[in-house]
Amino acid sequence: MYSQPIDRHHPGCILFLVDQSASMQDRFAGGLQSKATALSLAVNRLIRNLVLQCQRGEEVRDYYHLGLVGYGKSVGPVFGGDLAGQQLVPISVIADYPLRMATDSLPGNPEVSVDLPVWIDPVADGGTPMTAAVNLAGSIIVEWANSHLDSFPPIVVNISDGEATDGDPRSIAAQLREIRTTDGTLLLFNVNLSDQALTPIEYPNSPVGLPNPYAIGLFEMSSELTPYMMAVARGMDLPVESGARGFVFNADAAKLSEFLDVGTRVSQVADR
Amino acid sequence: MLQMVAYWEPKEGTSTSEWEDGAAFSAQTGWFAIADGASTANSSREWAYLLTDSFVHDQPTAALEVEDGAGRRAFLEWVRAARTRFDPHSPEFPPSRMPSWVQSAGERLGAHATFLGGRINDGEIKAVAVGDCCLFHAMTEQARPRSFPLTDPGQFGTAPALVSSLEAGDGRLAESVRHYRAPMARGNVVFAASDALAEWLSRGADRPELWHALARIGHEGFSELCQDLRANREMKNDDVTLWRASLARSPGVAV
Repeated sequence: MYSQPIDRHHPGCILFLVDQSASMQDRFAGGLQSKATALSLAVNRLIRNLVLQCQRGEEVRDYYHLGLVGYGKSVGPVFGGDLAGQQLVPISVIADYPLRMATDSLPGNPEVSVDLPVWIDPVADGGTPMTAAVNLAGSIIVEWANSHLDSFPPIVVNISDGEATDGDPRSIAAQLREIRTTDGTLLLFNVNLSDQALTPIEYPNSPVGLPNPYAIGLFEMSSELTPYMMAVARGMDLPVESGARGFVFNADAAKLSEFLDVGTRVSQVADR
Repeated sequence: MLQMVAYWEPKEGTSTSEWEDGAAFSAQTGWFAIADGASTANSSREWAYLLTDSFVHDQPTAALEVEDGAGRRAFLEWVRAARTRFDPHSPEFPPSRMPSWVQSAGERLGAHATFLGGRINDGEIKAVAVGDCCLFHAMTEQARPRSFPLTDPGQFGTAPALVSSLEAGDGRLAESVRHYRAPMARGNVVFAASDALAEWLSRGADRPELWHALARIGHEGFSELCQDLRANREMKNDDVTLWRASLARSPGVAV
């Protein structure tokens, strides 16, 4: 289980559920950026890195199909431009059609600027219809899973700063996690973004000690990390113990980036 | 009489043109090299080809010296010279089908490959290696072959040392260079393998029948072996290269 290598015949699928509610305009973890800005930056960087991981020879190979679903004033795919309305897109097509190019600093060398393609802009408007977003994820993913039965199971990463305003998402999330390929059931991971600089709770393996029912609910919605993700997390000196779930509460920008890195690692992507 | 041969198999599901290892050798001069281009880096296939071809053509004798770090310094000098011949924009390379931002990001990150090269000459074998391409030196029919630079299957990982097309990592490269030197007697057989096969060979190194079979394997048998190992999940699905050199027991007689 969770061992199928990714290749062109067995692509992976990653769907991001992105909170675009009004509260996302608040500052992130006591910093200067809004949560919406920090989140869009983290997602754009992650997609860029996934594209670069998929370059082989003279082409970008379709090792992944990616989707972006936003939930706030409305619920739906948030790719724009030439990708508008598309739910899951082969990564070579995503590479071809960013909304625009921006600049970013080189990791570890902030004085050097590099291209940063932009696929998602910050949005903060409306409530938090997380349940509808999880439901939409199911309808998008089930079709993909049925047509990629031998692939690594789909990964859904839900990033939010608050409780759902459209009912309890736990039961629909449980149904989502039942979607499977022959290599295992869908992995649903959750990260909660904090307004304040609080101590994050990372990858818990028990609800004991979680501060409130909302946090416990997100814990219950979250899948356990796969053995490979556990190994990756340990390699990054992250505090993971047996049974650790893909869940971070009160994340700041650094924890969000770490979470996205760990939570999108499959066993192997078609050779190093 | 020194005989050399190389076999290769691309990853399952890919074509021969997508094979990202490199191999070059000359039984006349005794020089040989294999390399494994890091798939996640831009133009690494071309970099692996260039490293192996250049090594056999340039014959950098000093790079094989074991003593006092001289070989290490000479190997780095040879790599620097090879870099001057590496041009990702060369018309010899297939035209890029990547968007320009991916192309430029890839060039900034450079091309990378593991490397193993050496020479068999005057009753001796010398080799230099960076990363997890491995050499196996069978000195008698029964003894476990000597293995270089890795000696244990547990040493294979997902982040081997690499020879980069960029100078930025040369400090780390210098620390990663390994050398091998041993007598090469008549009847000896030497194998060099890229990492996937090398790891499998390392696990079976105590089985004399394995080495006997590999000493006689041909193109078809090698292809079948790779397919079986992949089907049984005994070997990861990776490009595979095997180079073999044998020194006849008596002049003019093949092993």
